[in-house]
Amino acid sequence: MRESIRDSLITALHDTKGYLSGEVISNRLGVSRTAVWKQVQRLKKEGYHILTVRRKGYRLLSSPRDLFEGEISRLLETSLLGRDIRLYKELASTNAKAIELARDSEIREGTFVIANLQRGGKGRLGRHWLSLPGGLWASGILRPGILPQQAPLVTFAAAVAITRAIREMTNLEVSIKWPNDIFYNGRKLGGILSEIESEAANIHFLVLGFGLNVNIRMSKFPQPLRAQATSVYRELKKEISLNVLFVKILKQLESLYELIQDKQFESILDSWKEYNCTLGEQVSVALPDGSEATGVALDVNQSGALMLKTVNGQIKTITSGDLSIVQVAA
Amino acid sequence: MQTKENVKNIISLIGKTDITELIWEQDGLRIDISRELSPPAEVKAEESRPVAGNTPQAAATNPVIDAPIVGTFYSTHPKSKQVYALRGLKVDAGQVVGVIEAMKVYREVFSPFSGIIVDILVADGQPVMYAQGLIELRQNLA
Repeated sequence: MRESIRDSLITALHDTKGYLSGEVISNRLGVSRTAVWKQVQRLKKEGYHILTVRRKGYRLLSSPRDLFEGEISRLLETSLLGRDIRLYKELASTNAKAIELARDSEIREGTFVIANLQRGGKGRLGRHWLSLPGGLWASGILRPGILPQQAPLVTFAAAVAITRAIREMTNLEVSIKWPNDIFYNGRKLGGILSEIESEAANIHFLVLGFGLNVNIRMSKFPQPLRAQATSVYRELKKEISLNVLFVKILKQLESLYELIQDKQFESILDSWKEYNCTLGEQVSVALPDGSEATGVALDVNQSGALMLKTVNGQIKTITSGDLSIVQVAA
Repeated sequence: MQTKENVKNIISLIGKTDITELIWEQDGLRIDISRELSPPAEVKAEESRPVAGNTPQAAATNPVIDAPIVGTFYSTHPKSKQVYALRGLKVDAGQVVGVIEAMKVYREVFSPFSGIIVDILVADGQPVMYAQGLIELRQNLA
């Protein structure tokens, strides 16, 4: 298949250190200079930073795979979330950094730690989330006025926000697998992991961490993960702006977070149910103690725990575990 | 000096009872006595109950750290591999002694007491109920 003009242009710009003249591009791509100019304008809208200089041509400063504080602040539509952005080239874990920051009560609520790359903890192998460049790795500091046992609802809200933002930006019908994995076509696109510090009845802070495989080519994934994981790039065959995606997630999350602060938990659960791909399915949950629970995923209770109906009709309430949807033969 | 003797007598008398408050008035003299009955060493509401009622393994006198929330208990963090609790480890009040995970939210468990860990009552990765005993301590008697 012939590469699109768009992709050829991106490749040409990527491969050139300095400026590339409109004439050279138009010759190479076999299109008019006006067509090149139009394509450049389109790429700029997608988040490519392209410098245009008369008589010199075009120069690619950054592609949307790069997160930019400046770009995020320019696009931001929220008043609480992301008003303070801490961007790192590389971190062991955005959650760990956010927790460190959150212990300082001077840090404002809604501060987000983001990184282009997470190195991950020491000695972590196998099933652990791999954080490659081109993904969105972020952790927000929240101080919700809810009970510690209600904290999972914040992560449910985050799953909804991420799902809405990805759907809005890409038209990919992503869904949520209990409790809060972002799924597409039976493969994992992203995950959420939170940590709280609290007393019996009040939360000091909640660090909401999420990771999304965005502009990652599948060849970058280790072989064993390729069957289970996917990325936006794999599904769309193009890169999307990380800055735009991040800002859209924050916007969605902010309105859901307001509902949480208003104690409208039912509304969060209803939205979660709207996008979930788990309820009603025959599922198998690998429990942390090594055992397994199977049955039909009936519902989630008010704190987000899974209600599983086992073969003998018993209802089990499950709070932890790795869920997989059992493919029933037609 | 008779008054002093009377007060002494009163104190020794109520010492054998459960009376916590006494007001004595005689000939324009008034004595107010109030006391607390055997304060149950450092009880903090909700956070902790030093009674091992729900944990038959624990010796009745040792304080037990309870689960503040329903979920899965870990004395070693399953991700960072940080070890929070070990038998024989000395912990201070307010120190983290484990985490409980529910719906991928990790919550740290703090010890309300200082002491030495005598036993970890729940294996890592096991589900715990609210208020279930997790860790038994032996308190340092000052």
